[in-house]
Amino acid sequence: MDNVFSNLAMGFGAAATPLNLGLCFIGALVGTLIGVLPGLGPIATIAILLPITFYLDPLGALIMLAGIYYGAQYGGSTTAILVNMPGETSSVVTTLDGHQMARRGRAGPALAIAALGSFFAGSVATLIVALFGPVLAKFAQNFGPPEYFALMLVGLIGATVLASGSVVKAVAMIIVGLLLGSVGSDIETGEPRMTFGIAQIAEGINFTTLAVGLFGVAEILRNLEKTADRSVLGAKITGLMPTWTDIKQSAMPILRGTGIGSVLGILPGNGAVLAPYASYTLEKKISKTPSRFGKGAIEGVAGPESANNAGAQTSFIPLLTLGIPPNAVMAMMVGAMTIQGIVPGPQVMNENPTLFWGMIASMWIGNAMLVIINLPLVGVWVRLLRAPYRILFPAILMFCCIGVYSINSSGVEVMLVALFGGIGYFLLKHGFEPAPLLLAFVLGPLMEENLRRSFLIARGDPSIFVTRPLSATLLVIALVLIAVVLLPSVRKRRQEVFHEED
Amino acid sequence: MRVRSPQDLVGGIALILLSLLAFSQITDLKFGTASRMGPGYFPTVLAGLTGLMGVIIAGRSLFLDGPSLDRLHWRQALPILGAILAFGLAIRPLGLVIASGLLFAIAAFASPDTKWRELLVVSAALILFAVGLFVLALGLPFPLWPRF
Repeated sequence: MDNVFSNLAMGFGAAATPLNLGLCFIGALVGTLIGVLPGLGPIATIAILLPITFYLDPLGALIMLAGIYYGAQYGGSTTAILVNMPGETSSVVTTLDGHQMARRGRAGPALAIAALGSFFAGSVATLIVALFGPVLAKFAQNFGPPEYFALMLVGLIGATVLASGSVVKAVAMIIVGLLLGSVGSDIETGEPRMTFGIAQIAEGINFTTLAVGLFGVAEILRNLEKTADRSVLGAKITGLMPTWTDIKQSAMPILRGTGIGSVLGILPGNGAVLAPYASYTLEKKISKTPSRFGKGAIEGVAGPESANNAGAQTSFIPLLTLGIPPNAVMAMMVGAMTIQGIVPGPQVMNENPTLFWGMIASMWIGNAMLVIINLPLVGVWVRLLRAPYRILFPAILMFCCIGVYSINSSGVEVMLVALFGGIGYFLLKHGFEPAPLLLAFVLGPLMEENLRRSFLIARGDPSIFVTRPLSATLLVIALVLIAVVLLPSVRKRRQEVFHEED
Repeated sequence: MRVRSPQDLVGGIALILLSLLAFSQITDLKFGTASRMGPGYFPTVLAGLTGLMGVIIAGRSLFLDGPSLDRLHWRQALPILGAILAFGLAIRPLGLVIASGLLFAIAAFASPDTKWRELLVVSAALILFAVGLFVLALGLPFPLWPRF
């Protein structure tokens, strides 16, 4: 316990340098910006900014990218409350009661409770990361290739359980992601595989190129189809301060939301997206007056907003301790670490303690900054929402192109973005989710390596996966997950949950 | 036989085509054995599974109801993808300023409410910003102007 605090102190020392504070602020600011603007998500943004991080030191780069992710959770709620349109998928639920509060002239308290709840949840979740991270990392040091393979399998199957839309299609996306991940030279012999003779993919498809195309460009195409009118609430926001009653009503939902979000965030798949639904359902169920929900109940804002931020925070745990990304955003973080020459995994904490603890400390600092960025500056964000899309999309497009070009100074790389953008558009149009694909793409080469090593150790005997207790346990978990998703009652429930999202 | 879910049918066929495309590239790679996997082992298994998923998804479109095909908006998609291609082709020989200009000009056709004057101002501002951030502040090795 003492150790945790001395480590945290070291982390704060590393994160509080002027440069890192600045990067944390930029990350939080950019995160809020893209959170507020519908149609540009954290995955696309991080993909676009990834090449720039090459010029920063590892800690600074990760601090900034992490700030974008949790900053987006804050910003998303502003749009949800004021425009009745979720800025991010994780703030869909907030539209239900948050916008109703705004309509009743209580936009101020709704925004304040959302920000303060998020701050509380973020602080608690940061502490959870600090407490549980080391324990898990220590545990993971006993993992051999079979355990890692089994763990990644659990991760990928988990991603299909929590993916929205059809399970079969999510499985298909994972397999395609693994297939794309195996493009490039073979890890042992160096032979080119499926490269079509294109020099730019001889070493594998570039992660950034794929992510920018699938998320950045495809999102632009989808947004251009909708001529959405954004009716920003015209009235001035008066009185940010919630009343004493508001605070009393919100306290317990915030606590419960933090708990739900922290647990779901660690799970593979997209915990931060599912957590607010779970929290909202719970609050409505245990409320003495469930009829108030949907008509501006502050509990319906406090709970889910805390849950999504807690989930965003704890989803760093599998990445930092096991080196395995639980969702697509964390897969981007793996990309960022690889660019910096850091292999994600349990060894990061020992070999690079300032990086590990500095990042955790920066999350708390970033959360504190976000309260300031979001509450007093809310007027600025509202004005930004009025910027028409015809001005925004050329800017996004330019950043996509310049970002990808700067990786290798290669024009062909940019043209590949157009290809992946087209593919991403096709996927969206045919009900396929690109997020599991990206996750599998990152995990693919790791899985192949660990599978080949496992078989090498066992001399081709597949029983190695079931005779080692840890990997056997993980495989059982994978089987249970498959069974769960096939249960009729769960299938029905899944459909209900994800149907509301649309 | 009636197609109940056109989206799934098209999606499934696309997966089958992708699987064939992958197979066409890996036939000459050594497959190896389980204890000594060759370069072709993992990709072959995955290409096979991709095809299998394609067959399943296309097959179930005949039995399970699903959404009808969503219209592809070519009027938006083509200018955007074309603009990216143009940037990729132009950046090396013509430099950042002209490549970005081309990007904006082509992409503008995707938006129904383009105002050309406004576009000119926005483009100029964005190019200035990009040059300032990427070339001056971050010092990336970008060609700014055409090289003769």
